[in-house]
Amino acid sequence: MNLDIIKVLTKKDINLFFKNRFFSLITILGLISYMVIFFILPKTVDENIKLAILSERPLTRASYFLEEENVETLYFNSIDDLKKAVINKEVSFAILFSEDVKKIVVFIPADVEEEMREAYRYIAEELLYVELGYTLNIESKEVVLGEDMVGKQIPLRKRVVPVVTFLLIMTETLGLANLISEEIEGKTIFALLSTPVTVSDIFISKTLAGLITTFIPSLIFIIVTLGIGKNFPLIVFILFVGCLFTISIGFLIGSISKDFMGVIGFGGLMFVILLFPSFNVMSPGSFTSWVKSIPSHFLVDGLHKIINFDATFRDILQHIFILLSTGGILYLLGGIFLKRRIG
Amino acid sequence: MRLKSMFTLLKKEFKSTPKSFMFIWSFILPVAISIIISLLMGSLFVSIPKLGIYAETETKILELIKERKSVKVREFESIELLKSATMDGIVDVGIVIPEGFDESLKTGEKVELISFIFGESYAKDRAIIAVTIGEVLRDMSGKKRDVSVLTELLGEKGLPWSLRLFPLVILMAIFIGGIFIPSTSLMLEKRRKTLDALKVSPVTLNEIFISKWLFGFILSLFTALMILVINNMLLVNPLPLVSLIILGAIMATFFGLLLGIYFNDITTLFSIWKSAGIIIFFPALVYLFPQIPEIIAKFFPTYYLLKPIMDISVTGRAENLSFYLIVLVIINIILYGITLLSIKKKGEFL
Repeated sequence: MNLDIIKVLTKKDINLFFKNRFFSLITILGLISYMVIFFILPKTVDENIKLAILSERPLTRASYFLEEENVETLYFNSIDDLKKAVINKEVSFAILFSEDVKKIVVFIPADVEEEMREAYRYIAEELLYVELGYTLNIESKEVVLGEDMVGKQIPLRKRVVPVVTFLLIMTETLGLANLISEEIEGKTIFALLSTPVTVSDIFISKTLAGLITTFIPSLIFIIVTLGIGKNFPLIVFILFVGCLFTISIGFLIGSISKDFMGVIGFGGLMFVILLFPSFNVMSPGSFTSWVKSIPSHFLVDGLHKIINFDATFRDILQHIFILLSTGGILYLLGGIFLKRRIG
Repeated sequence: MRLKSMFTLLKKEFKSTPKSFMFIWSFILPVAISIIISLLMGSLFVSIPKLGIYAETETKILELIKERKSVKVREFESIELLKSATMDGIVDVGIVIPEGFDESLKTGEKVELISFIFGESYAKDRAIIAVTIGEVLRDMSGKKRDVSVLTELLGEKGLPWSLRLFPLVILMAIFIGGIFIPSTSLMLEKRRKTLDALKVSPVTLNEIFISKWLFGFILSLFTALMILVINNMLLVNPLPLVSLIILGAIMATFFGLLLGIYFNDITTLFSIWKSAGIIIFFPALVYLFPQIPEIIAKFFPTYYLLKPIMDISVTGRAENLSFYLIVLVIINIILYGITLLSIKKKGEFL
């Protein structure tokens, strides 16, 4: 292993990476557009139903019910204002109570899906029953599993950070895979190996080039979007491990792909598979627990837990171990394929 | 131009392309996206609360609650499975139905229900599940009082999300195959120098171009028709729809040929696709985000394809259909002229 050679090879690879218009364009465009997407997404979560009520008689039991079910309530004095609030989407729906509070009219925006219309109707009906005192003899024992996030839900903006970080890393990995496959396709690897350069020098320099091209953009994204908070060192650490893991995937793709199209083909397939766990971060419960068998789950979930749940190093120890061990196996596989191809 | 040699070339395209990655991109990707979108419609854009139920005994609640559209119901075989699914967010709320539940409800005895709540579930989802369960229990208990609840819909009925995304999918179906297949096929021939070999054979340059155009056109047309079938739209008004798709596929393949003639490598093609793709897809954004004024979309050629397709998909008929068809024919004639000129100008140098 020669440090000077590794330095030169790494520099050459980075230059080559940015010479490829496709990958340099998606690196810069991707980074900028992801940042724009982050700042466009809402900062808060609108998790409550907003209800407008018009009732001549004050509601007693219903008010308590609404409070218990976290329904935000606005009271109106005229039907016109009540309807306007629905049309202008200031509220989810509205209820007009009759004078004797025995009849109601439910106003729902026309573009609301059928399922939600039914839900609003049930809320209104239940409200009427409660107000009239027709309650059921049922006692409910509620057990909240995990931290109760009502009132402090994670906004979509913060949910996308781990997903986008992973996307950024993965895209750069395809660039690295392309470098390897081009090296084999263009036979330059054989030229290199006829000089004092060894296979391990090439291996290490590609890893370093991969680390630079994956780690730096993802770190920039994290700093711009989240800033440098108390979890920053842990984020940097898991990001570093995650980059090593994805580079190993890049190695494997590069070693088995014949050309650029192969990289895009195999890489695209790998990309889709590895992307599945992200859906669970964006929308919990999208997939059942099988998704945890995809190793990228441990990168996305690890980042998600640190960013959104203040997880500690101990909490993500298992994630780190799985990422490193899977990465190691993939490196090994990539190495085997590479050696077979270069004879 | 001889039909026999053209079909031989076309056969060659049919044989070699399905093995390439571009074929996956052009055909499988739009179809997969369309299926995924239709599957996700119920979960991503219309957030229906998910309720898990474990019943220790036979109960009518399962059957009744499944009839309600306001919640999605999933049955579990044990408390452990229910708890684990709630913990993972697969359901927002999981309830355990105890033994003798139905009888107690009917007799008015006090019933104890255990419910597990996913910590990250939204307050509104919890509320909807609670009232839906309440509604079903009232139904089961036979204590549903005769109250008067009228529903009135206010405002305009907008496009549902499944339809808002449809323009994007249909344009992808027509244009990915239409553009990428002829262009990459030409680029690869140039790169592998196989075009030189063909040029010294009895086939003419025009026959080569027509066979590539034809293959892109067939794939583009077939993919778009598949999308219409997946979305149950083909039979809405088939004749105008198919005519529009044919004109769209012709447009796409002319674009593809032009790109193949003027550019030599696939990386450049991807760069162009990323930056100039907006020319094709902008009209779809108007449907996705109705806040964008429709007048801007009229400056883009695909608007004249998308507008009648969407009108037919939503209302079953397109107003001024002949106008859109004429505009599309004119665009295609212009593209045909440009392609012919380009082949004349650049063909010999390819």
